This record gives sequence, C-alpha cells and structure tokens, in this order.
Amino acid sequence: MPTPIISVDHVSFAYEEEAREAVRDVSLQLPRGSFHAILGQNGSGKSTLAKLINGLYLPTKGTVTVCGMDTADDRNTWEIRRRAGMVFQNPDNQLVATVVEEDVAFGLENIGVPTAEMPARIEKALRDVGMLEYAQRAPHTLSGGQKQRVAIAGVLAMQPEAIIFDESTAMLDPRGRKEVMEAVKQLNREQGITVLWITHFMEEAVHCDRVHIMHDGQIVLSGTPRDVFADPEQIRKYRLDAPPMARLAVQLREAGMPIRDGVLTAEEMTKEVLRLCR
Amino acid sequence: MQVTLENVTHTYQPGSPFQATAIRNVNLEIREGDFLALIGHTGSGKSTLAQHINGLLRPTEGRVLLDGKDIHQKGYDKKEVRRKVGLVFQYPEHQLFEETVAKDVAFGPKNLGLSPEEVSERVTEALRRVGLGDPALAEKSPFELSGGQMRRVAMAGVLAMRPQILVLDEPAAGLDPQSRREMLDMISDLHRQGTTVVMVSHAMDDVAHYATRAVVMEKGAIAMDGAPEEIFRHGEALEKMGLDVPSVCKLGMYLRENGLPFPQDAFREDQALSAILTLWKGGKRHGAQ
Repeated sequence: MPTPIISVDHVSFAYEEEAREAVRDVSLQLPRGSFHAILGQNGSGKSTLAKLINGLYLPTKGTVTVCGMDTADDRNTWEIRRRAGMVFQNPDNQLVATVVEEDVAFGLENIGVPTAEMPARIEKALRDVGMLEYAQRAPHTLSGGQKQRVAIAGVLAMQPEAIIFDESTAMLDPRGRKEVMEAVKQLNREQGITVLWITHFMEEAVHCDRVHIMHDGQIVLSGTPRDVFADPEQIRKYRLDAPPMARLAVQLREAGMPIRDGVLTAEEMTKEVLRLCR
Repeated sequence: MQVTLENVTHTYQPGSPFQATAIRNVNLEIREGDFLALIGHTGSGKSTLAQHINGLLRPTEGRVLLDGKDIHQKGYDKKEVRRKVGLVFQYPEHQLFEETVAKDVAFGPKNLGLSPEEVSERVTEALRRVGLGDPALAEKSPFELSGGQMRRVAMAGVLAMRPQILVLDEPAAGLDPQSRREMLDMISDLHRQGTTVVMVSHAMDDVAHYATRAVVMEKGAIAMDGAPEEIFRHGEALEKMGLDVPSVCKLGMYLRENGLPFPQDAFREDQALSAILTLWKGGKRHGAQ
C-alpha cells in the first residue's frame, strides 16, 4: 500500500499535563488525492487535531506523519508546513500584505523561493482559485469568500501536497461558502491535492470521499457520507445534524415509502420521488 | 410598540470619495408580535437597516417612527429608544468585558440608574431566560465559558434592559448545529412570550422554521416582504439574488420542473413529508387502476 499523505496513529493530546485530553486515541489516514471531512461540534477536538497534523502541537501519545515525516522531529517542521498547508477560519487574520499578490508572495519569501521563480508561481496560484484579476487589489476591499481564496492561493504557491481547512467557511455568507468550496473541490479533482476539510456544516461534507465524526476528543464514526448520515438519530447524539434530505428520507421510509438508502441532496431526493410517484 | 421606517435612505460618509448609499427609500412597518427575518446577500443593506431600528444610525433622508413619533426629532428621548429596542450585534461575545458574568449583564441596567435590588433582579431573570440560571455560573469570568455560552451572556445583557423589540444580527453565526438550535429555540420562546423579534439571517432553513415574516433586501432596497410561504414560492428569484433557499423549496422546484404537483407553499420538512406521501399514495392508486 502506498504511504498515506497524512497518517495519524493512536494520537492523544492534552493542553496541560494532567488536564483532560482534548484528542484521545485518534487514528486517521489520508491517501494521496483523497478528500476527507471531519465534523464535530464546537469543542469536540477537531481544531486541535488540525494543529497536531501540521505540527503546531505535538502529540502527547502516538505519532503524526505527513508525507512520511514525523511531526515530532523538529527538523521536519518547515517541510511539513510547506507540504501540508493550512487555511484558518478568520480571513482577516491571515492576510498580511497591502496588495493581494504580495500576500501570496509572503510565504514564498519565507521558504526562500528564488525571486525569479515567484511571479509564475503567484500567477498560477491566483488563477487556480479564480483570483488572478484581483492581484493588484488591497485585501480589505475583497469579500470574505475572496479573502479566503487569496489565503488558499498563499498556501498553493508553496506547492503543497495537502491542505487542511480549519473551519474556513464558518465566517462566510452562503455565496462565499460556495465560492470557497467550489475552488477547493476543483483543486482536489484537477490537481490531486489531498484535502482535510474540518467543519460543522453537514452539507459541506456531503461530497467528500470520507467523513469522520469527532465527539469529545474521539473519532466516533467514520465512513462514506452515505453511511455516516444514514442514521440521523445517532448524528444528533453528537450534537450534529444530518442534512435535511437525509432526515426527510428516514421519515418517508418510516411512513412505508421505499426510498433507497443514502439520499443526501435535493437532487437525489427528486430522483427517488420521481421513481416512486410518477 | 411599532417601528415604522418612512422613506429611509442611508449614505455612509456623504460628500467624501468613499460615499456609499447602503439603503435607499426603504419603507417598512415592524408590527407588534412579528418574528421578522431580514434576509439578503452581504452588502444588501440589511445590517444598516437593522441599526436604524434602534436609532444607532440616523437616516440621511426619511424618518424612523416609534409608535408614530419621530425618534430623531428634537426633544425625543433617545435613551427611551435604546431601552425599548435591544440590538444584539454579530458575534456579540466579542464585546464582553467584565470580571464576572453577573457584572457584565448588570452593566446596562446599572446605567439606567436602577436601584441595586432592581438591577440584581433583572440580571437573575435575564440569565434564566437565556438558559444560564445556575447561580455558580453568574460569578464566573465570562471568558471561561464556551463560545455558545458567551453569546448567551451577551444576549442576557441586552435582555436585562427588558426591550419590547429585539433586533439580532445573525445570532446563530458560527455556532455548531446543536447550539444553533438552542439559540433559535430560545429566541422563539422570547417571541412567544411577547417580544417582537427582528433577525438578520443567511440561513434559510432557520427562517423557514422560525420566522412569521420575511423581508428580502437587495441592493439597498426591499425586494420582497411577506410570510415565509409567500417568499419561498419565488425560489428562482432568491437564487438569482445569490441567496440560498430551504432544501425543501429546492426539492419542490425540481419536482415541479419534472411535472409533479408538489405544492408551491411547502418549505418545511413536515410539509414536504405529507406532500410526498400524498403524491406517493396518489401514484399507487393511479398505478393500481
């Protein structure tokens, strides 16, 4: 089996000695090119896990490896952060420069990319997230969704193999969320960038390869979106909510209608209703 | 208690190069007992409108009337407006500052010049109403609480002023699904107990479940105003404005496009359930003939 891009092996983490562990015995593997989502309520440990993966925190037990490199070995830290970039929640805290393209250049300067190589990398990164025409703009004049796409371009310019998104759409409006989600799906599909998507929006997890539900520091449920959302009652126990169409499917089945398993979106529900009612 | 916006226009930084008109010629009557959802894309003017309701912003043109009286007229007591209309900003927990939860909630009522007994009574009541009635909690630092709890403390601070109208700018933003439901159920309880509610929201499924009236803003003007079942009939128009529609509306749109008579005014899950079962039973009967 090829080495996974991200491998979390029986990892626990406590913020202070003797404190309750924020992450407990978590194992997770992301193969190259996969798109995984981690869902969990506030305080479930999902953001702590993200910071463990890019070496901002080190496990108290277990090991995290990124592209085969152990995060606990501090000689690996910069290479890990370059290969597995991270995009955070608040777009206003991530942009540092006064012009969009300078912001994308910032990370490149930090890792010592030759100046001659920069313009091409910056242009490609901005084009990949659909922000090239904004290269000369001031970040504060952009919408939330645009700012997040610039933040993604900053990570992309480093030519990473994986990107970890830590609730990167939580502060955006529906249009901004859609923009960012589409850009990320495209990066995954067309460039094979491995994605770990951390969120509490169920509908964002619907199109992932695999969903992991975190509750109280542990992964309590893993599987394809269809499997994970098949039982809305169980999801509710973890203070989450299944997508509306998954809930409706369960109620229709309870009323005797033979809706097939795994309906998650309005499109899929439409097909089922047409199949059974027309 | 009724608020009327009469031909209200608001221009930020007029006369400067940054001049921007956020709302234009808005007419709106907020009636006692409304649970009014204010919807619109970012930049549509909904937050600007919301800040006119309690007099925080002054219209560049037009008038804001509270029970028929112009609140910006000379001699009108502005404090009266602030007392009657409570405004909860986005991410209100960022504004907590006191050493204890109780002190933070007491800040507003104290400024009203109430007696210490009255202040303490109001604090206890407000904390109970937001589901933080545990006395031990009142003595904690607000910064030791979870994000959802901090937001409740901020709301209690506004409720302690005993407003008759509560204006909330995206009260559930950033909360996880369970905290979101708890927050909206709590607002819904306040509404049932007689508070008029104006809620700015992006989440259409929430609007579908909780609001009695929806006002859609686009480019600084009111584009639609009506009961949620009327508004959500216009799914395509809402999508064109960059807004989401409740998932059930989307389902209805697809089914109707495919020739199934899914009712135009169904927008909640319970309505979808009975509508689909009716279609299914009708189809079965038809097939048996």
